[in-house]
Amino acid sequence: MINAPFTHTEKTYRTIMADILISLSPVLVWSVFIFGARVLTITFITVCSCVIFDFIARYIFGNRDLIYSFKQATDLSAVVTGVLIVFMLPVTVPLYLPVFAAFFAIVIAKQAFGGIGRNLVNPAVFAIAVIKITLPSFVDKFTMPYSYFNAFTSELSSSLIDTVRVFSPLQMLSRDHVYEEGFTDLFFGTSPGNIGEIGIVFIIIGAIYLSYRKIIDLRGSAAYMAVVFLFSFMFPRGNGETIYFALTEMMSGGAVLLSVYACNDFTTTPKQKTGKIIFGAGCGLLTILIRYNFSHFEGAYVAVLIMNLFTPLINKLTRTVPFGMLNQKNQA
Amino acid sequence: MPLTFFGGIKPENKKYSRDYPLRYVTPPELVYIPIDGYVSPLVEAGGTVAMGQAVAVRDDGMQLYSSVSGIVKGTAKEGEHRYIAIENDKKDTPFEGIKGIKKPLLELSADEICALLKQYSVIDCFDEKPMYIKLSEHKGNLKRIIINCCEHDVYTTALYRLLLERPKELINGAKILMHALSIKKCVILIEDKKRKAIQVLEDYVNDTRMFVPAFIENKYPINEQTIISAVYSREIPHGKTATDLGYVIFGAEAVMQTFISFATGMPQIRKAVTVSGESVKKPQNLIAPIGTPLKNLIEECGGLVHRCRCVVLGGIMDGEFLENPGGVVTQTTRQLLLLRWVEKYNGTRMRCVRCGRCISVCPMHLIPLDYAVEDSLKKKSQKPFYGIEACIECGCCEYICPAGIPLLEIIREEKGKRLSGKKSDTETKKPHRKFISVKKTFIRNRKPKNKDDDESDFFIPF
Repeated sequence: MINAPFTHTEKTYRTIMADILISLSPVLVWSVFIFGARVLTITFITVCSCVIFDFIARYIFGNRDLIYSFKQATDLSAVVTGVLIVFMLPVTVPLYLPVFAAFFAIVIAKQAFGGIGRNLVNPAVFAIAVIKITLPSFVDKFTMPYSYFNAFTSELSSSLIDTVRVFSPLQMLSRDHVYEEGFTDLFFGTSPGNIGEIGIVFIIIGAIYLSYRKIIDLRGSAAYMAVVFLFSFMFPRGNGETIYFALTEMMSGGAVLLSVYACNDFTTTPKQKTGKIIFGAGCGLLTILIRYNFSHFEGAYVAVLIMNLFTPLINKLTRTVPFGMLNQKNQA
Repeated sequence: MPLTFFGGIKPENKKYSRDYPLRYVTPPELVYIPIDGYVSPLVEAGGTVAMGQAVAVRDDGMQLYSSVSGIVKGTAKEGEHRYIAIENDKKDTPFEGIKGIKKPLLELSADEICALLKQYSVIDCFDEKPMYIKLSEHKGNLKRIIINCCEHDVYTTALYRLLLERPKELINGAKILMHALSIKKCVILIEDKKRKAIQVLEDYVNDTRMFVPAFIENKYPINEQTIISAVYSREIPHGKTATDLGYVIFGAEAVMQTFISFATGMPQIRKAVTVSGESVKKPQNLIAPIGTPLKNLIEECGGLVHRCRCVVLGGIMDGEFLENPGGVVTQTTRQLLLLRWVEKYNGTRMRCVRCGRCISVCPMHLIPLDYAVEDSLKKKSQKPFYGIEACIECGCCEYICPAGIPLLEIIREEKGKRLSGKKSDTETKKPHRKFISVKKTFIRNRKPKNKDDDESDFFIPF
């Protein structure tokens, strides 16, 4: 005996995650062009370790059923987490570090809370924040573009890096110095930085593709960017013109990548439309405060983690009233 | 820009029967007239009956008429339904004393029109109410009539063909109703994509002050609440109907039937039905007399082609599943679907990931993902089923959920518990694995991989 409805849409979790991977691919291709083949080895190691940790954790914490855990682990959510972790690391990172990041992301932040749908914080952002706060010396060496490193050496020696080492725009901002000549490099992707955080135009292409497929809603991202730009325009620091400071602040440090992929995460962000705008604005405000008062290096990541804990409150405050029950709500 | 309402889904377009004009069904041998709500039959076994003769009577005085002429064989019973079986002699002799109204329209008063509609027993298939009740239950503050010419479902095309072939009856029927309720303007609601039908209607309407068109977007749940929220941007308060706000909504077919009944004097004895689907040879729109068995409709369309696994009476989102189609055409039948497979969720069922698509699709502004929470977490939250009285069970949330969660089952269970007054059972031990792969019933839930597997034999389930 089957009840209505007798039809179903063809989209499942796998097609949604595949769409997200397609939207992440322009950034990956451009970063391979800029940084060389080492990006591919880092990606391969991270994704494999994410998927293996996911399968093992589902087996241990879940049903202890091999086939069921295997079928559940073939939805591509672990792959998306892995690629996002890679995008927030520099290319000079030693090859054993992303394994730790995958462990923090999958086992601690996701499966121990109950699996997919029940995690409290964004797993990729949590892993990156932990590593950047506890082991900063592994992840703060940026290089000039078009300087290719060997893909298979596990740890690059400091003498090899120092020949091509430069400071990224974010580190210059923490010293109150603004790029004025190489400003458009940030937008088109030829400035130093993390793997996925250069090339703003490719992130925007990915965001437009996702919004066309109706997977994300661009309100939260727009609110995040608008608040960051507004506050850095109103309270500028350093020498140089205000407009360049504001634009550089907005486009560096992973704010654009997080605004598209972390402000629209399914589990950890509010569901209603006004809730998403509040989330984005709060993230922007916290980013600016942490960058000015504490450290430029981890501003965006810690801001997203703090706002993830505000999500249940925002959900309760912005709940919609059902159809036709406005008057009853006022009376009751 | 067409008018819209919040939410709703747009399934794939499957109008297979759009280009075939309306056809009369070949007269059936035996006709079973359903007398479920009616009290007493007025004819006995063995007597002859003419077309349009009263056969049964109801509590409030409405009568049921025979749709063919012939010999009465007696009462039949199938399951819980009762029928009167009549053997058709295919001569269609009308009952004596049936003649059309000869007076001009302006001489009829409102009470006379109401009494005539009760005598002709016209039932509106939009919300399954008799027309005379709709005309007489208003409180006197009516502002507009809305005539709904939108299709109910993805597969139906009967209304579209009726609009193309009989626009005069729609306009004249609307004029009768406007005179009965003394309203000066009438809104015709039609979907944005039906260009031909809009053209035909525009050629027919002479007085544009009386008839106003409204174009609505082609989305799935079009019923009373979404129509008023799209056209007038107002929400009907919970527990009230559109007549309390001052608007009456009629279905297009009932309006055409009032004009036909007034002109010829014959009560409602025929119905336009769409037979469609992938398993039938020639999907068509048919006009069938009331009481025709559904098997005759299937044979009229050429029979089955593929292995038909599912027969649905009604819409694809809110219809009934028939195990063996032993039913008949009643005054509220709209379509009969013969589907090749049921396109249910195609994968292992997962847990809710709180993506929020069900919220963006619910036309009643509800939050279905709060209903899908598992039991141990439900006890901790304060109001797990907030606002479930406003649910119209349209099925949009279950259609779009990417995890395949059976949301409608959960909602119906909770509504059933509230109606019967029982408390929810907390002591039953549910098994540890809840969302394992989809159970295999006799209906296959996936599309077959080879085509040869599917067309091996003609399997007729009834």
